[in-house]
Amino acid sequence: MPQFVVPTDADLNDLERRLIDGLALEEDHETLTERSWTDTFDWRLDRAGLRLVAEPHDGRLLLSCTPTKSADGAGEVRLRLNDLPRFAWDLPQSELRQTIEAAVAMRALLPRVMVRSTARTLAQRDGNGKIVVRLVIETPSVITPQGELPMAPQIQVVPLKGYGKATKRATRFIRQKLGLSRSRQDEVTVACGLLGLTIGAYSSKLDLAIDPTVRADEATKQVCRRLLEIIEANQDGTCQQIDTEFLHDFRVAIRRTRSALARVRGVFPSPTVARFQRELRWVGQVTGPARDLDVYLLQIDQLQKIVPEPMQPHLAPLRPWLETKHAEAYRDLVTAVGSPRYQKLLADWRTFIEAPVPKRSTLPNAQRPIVKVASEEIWRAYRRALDDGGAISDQSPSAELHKLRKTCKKLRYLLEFFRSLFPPTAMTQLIGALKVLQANLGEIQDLEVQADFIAAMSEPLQREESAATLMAIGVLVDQLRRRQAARIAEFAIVFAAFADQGNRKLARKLFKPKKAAGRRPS
Amino acid sequence: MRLLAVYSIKGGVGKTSTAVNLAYASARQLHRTLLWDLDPQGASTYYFRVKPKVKGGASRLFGRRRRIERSIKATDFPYLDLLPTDASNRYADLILDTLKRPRRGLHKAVRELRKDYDVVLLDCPPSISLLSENVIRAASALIVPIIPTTLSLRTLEQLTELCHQRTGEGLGILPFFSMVDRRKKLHRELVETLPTERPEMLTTQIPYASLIEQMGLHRAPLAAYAASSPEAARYSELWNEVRRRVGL
Repeated sequence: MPQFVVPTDADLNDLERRLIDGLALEEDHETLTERSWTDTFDWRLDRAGLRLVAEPHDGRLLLSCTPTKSADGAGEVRLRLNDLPRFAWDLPQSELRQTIEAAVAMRALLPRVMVRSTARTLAQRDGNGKIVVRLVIETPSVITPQGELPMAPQIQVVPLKGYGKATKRATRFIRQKLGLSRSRQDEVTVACGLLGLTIGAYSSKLDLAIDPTVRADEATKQVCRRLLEIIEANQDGTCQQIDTEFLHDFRVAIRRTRSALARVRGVFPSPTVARFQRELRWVGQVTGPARDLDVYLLQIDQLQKIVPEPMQPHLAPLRPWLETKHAEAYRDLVTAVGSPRYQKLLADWRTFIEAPVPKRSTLPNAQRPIVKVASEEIWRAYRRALDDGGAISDQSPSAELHKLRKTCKKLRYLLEFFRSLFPPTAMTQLIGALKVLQANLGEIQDLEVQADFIAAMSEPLQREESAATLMAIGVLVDQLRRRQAARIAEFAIVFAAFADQGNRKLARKLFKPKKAAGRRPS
Repeated sequence: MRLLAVYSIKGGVGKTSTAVNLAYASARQLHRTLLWDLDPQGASTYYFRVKPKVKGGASRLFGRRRRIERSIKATDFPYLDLLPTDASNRYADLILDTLKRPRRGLHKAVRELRKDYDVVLLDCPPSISLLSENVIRAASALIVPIIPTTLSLRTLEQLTELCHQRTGEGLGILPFFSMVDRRKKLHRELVETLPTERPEMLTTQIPYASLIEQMGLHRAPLAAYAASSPEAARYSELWNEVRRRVGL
């Protein structure tokens, strides 16, 4: 749809008059609309190449989803509904839901940009009185909490199928006679610019580009600064319980920060590291129950399907019980995040990581180039993962698998922190192999935790619920343990793939220190 | 995509008014709708103020070298396009007869529209011809206006028999009373008795009304110039009933 920007110093009334006279236009209609561009907090729809807009239509809400690259609205899907639900899974079954559900997953749909616009529509008719082209003169403004910010007026030529010549004539007239030029940016991008919002700005990915020669203490601070950004970006959404991913990203960033402090050794003073480690562990502990319960509630429907169908209704009391616990856990979380202890931790942490590194340091790794320190640490973690995994047999207790899982997590974090220091293809291969192993270990651990948690639930439920419910819980726990056993049986194959010669060779080539072992801290 | 045909063997029963107003109602509900004017008289084309012109003639619609897309015109209403007719549509039967499978020509042509439209409504000419056989074979439902007179009922029976011969029980026939004049005793009686004999009948009745006849003056669907009229509401109800029946 050809769109022209009206310069701010132009006389819009004069342009309209020239347009009406020059193209013999008639008034068609005038509307006041409010469009709300909707996406998730982490811009999942934008990343999937989709644009979701909600606007009032005939007393209801019209949701339309268009591919971002669609110039003429091709591929648009629409849905009319009374209110915009928070989650895609709450939308009625429809083409629109099918289009967005996989991309959005468990994230909430949030109005990211709201534009209010007065649109005056003019029409050109042929000899039969048939409209052959419409022109819309829009004066939009972006809605902010402080009020409205006017945007540059626009003239849109709305083409009608089968009347291409009229569209071309109108477009030529606007360009040549009115001297206007086509808009380079769409409305959403312009509105975001006015709001100081960058489309796709938030991502829980680290995406760091670290200079390999920079000092290790400075590089570690860079990693921690990026992680702090993620922690702070997710804090409000976590407390407001907008969706479960806020807490997930928040906790991952906390855990990664702890890992950066613990794994990159000899770059910060030990008392500082110990203090922040202690406080960050506390944040992890106070937010853990809420996350666990988020996961149980997300999975409750699948969990119910594990037991035989006649037993499924007996598991109904699980949901309200979990919801009560969930509310309690979030109450504790909000209290913790609002506490002076947390506020002080964050303030002190910011001061520390934003402070310039000392010119001289007695710490063994602080002044060494990060590429060397990172290689040593990754190599150490990689070797440990191979050793831990290699020692696991069919008879090993599940604690051994859990230990390996933690080792793998640490290795993964290191690989992600320092990804930019090494060849991208090689890093993708190693991280890919590690991910498969982590998925297996994660499932084994999750199934164990779930089984233990649900088994522990029988006790408080014993007093209130029927024997049938307790029996269904027993069957569910049994099924979870069977699934865990099946995943454990797969472990040997998954680990062998991770530890194969190709990956080992690659890791050795990338990370093994060359006769520098003596300089490593003990 | 649903292909619905407004069809009757008999002429003058309100087919075009029905097709135009149902297409409008469908588009109002945001279904991407195409009204295909198959009647060479071109009343639907006239109502939407579109020039009666098919690029390359009817052979470009039904023949081997189809270019349907090129002849489609947007109407003045959102989500509603029109495939106009012109005099060459008189030769539709001859063109279809040249195909390898003459009774499947329309079916093949409509397949090309699947990705662009949710609803395609056919405004059919009143006849029994090769084209109407094509319609019966291609459509998922026939919307059949009947005036409450004995002659109309006879044609409904003929149509039902024809459809069963051609498609077995597969095709949905959705008859409804059109141009009902409650001042006439026969109309009142038939409106009471027929639905008990024909349970497939739609319950919405379209009255005989001069406001509907004025579509020719306004050259627009009824709801576009008399949105709040009871007649416009009837067409909207009729569309909702059709929609439910065809699972849209």
